[in-house]
Amino acid sequence: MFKNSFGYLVKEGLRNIRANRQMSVASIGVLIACMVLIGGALMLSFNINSLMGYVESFNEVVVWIDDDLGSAGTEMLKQEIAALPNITSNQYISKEDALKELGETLGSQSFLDGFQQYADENPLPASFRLKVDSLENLPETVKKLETLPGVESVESSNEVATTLMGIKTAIHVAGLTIVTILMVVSIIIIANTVRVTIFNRRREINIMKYVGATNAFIRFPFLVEGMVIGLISALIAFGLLWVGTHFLYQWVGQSASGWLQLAYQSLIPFGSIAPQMLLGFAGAGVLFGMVGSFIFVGKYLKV
Amino acid sequence: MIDLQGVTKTYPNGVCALDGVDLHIEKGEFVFVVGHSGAGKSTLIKTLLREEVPTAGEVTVNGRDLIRMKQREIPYFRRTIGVVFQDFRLIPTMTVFDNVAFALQVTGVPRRFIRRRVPYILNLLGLDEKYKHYPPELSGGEQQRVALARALVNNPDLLIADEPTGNIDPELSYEIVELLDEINKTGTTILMVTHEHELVNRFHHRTVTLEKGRMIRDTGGTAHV
Repeated sequence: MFKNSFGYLVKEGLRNIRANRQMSVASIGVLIACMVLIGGALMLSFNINSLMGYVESFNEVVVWIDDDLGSAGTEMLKQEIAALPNITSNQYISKEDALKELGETLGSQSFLDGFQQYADENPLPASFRLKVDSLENLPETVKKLETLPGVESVESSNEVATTLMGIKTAIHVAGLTIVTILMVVSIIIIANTVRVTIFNRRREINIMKYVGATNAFIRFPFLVEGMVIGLISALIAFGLLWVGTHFLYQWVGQSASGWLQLAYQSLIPFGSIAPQMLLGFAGAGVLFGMVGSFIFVGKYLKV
Repeated sequence: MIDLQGVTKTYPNGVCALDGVDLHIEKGEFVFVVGHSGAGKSTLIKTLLREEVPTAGEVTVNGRDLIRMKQREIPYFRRTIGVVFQDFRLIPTMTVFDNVAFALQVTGVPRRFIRRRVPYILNLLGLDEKYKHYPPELSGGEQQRVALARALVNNPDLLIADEPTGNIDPELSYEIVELLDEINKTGTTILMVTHEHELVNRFHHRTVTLEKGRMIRDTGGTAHV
């Protein structure tokens, strides 16, 4: 197909972008707006997720051990805990370690020294510090731990976990809803833009038919045009998001608010999702351009 | 060249645009088709270009059966005929050269041929100064000559002209018809739809009159005066 005309048809497509400058600029603008909105919403939801992950990493469970358990019993308890699912780390804190830590926290050597002489009567219990793989599994794990022999009590932030889980679900649902709505709206707007662009050129298509152009011959430049416009839009949208996140991150980083400082730790660097985003934009842009022109040019080919 | 037998076209809205038209045109003829608006002239042209398919009757143009023609054969059929319209139908964003070249591009001929053929045709029609202009920059007469160049660049056997002088000053109208006359002398069959009786009276060619979809008069073989 198009043995002698391939180059001509590609050039035609590029020429048409210039020749129909106003519509090209309008289409590119619409595409950029849609991509920036969707990209921004995705970035925001990724970052909130990552921030939630950061908060989740504080899901420590402390298992206080009965003082009368003895070392053999402690070893057995350790194995029993290890057999439980969902536990990612387990650190044994002996009575001595606990005392030392307390001293460090208080920052008073004399306090420690004072205790040394009563070392045998250390009032602090030994403990296991566990981490649970996710907040979802926390309540259940705590319940199981409480039934194990030799466990005096279990300390965890169960209520915090429930609240966080609720927030996480809400953010997930909200993020997904917003992105879906944006996508649907984008598709409608883009389809309409392509339709108007081609409607403006229906006469041109009509003339080509009278001269004896085949449908494929008429379509090809439109496909090239749609593809290039999609690609240009993707590149500009990507650049805008890049610059935008850069300045936003900078602002968050320099902000005095402690909460934002915390958030800064868990921001996803733009570079880590840049390749996927660029690829997604370019793919969507090219696809929309080509499918859009394919569908709407078809409407005027029946002459 | 053109053979219509009992051609009837009734549109879905009930309007009967052509009513049992029989028309036979030989190769090399020059035929005027006249009639008031609504007489069926446009439908006749559309039928000859295979834009519309008649509800009844047989149509053969350039040896091709338009009734049984497949959709994908239409472009190849249209390349064998040249058409000019009252409103020129030039692509405004293409230069004069590209507008004419387009008719060759669609046929897939090599670029070298296009580069030789297009200037030749443009010179023939006195457009040698206008290659790089865009249609909106030209006068009506010039635009129609560009359209004529595009219609002729493929060397068609049949040229269909749908009121080619409708948007042109009267003095220039004669020029266009004289041009068509010249083209006719090289052997190209010409069918020209018009409602300008002055032209019909001045150029003595076979004249077919349509009224309410019927052929009410055919002066017959006065083609070669």
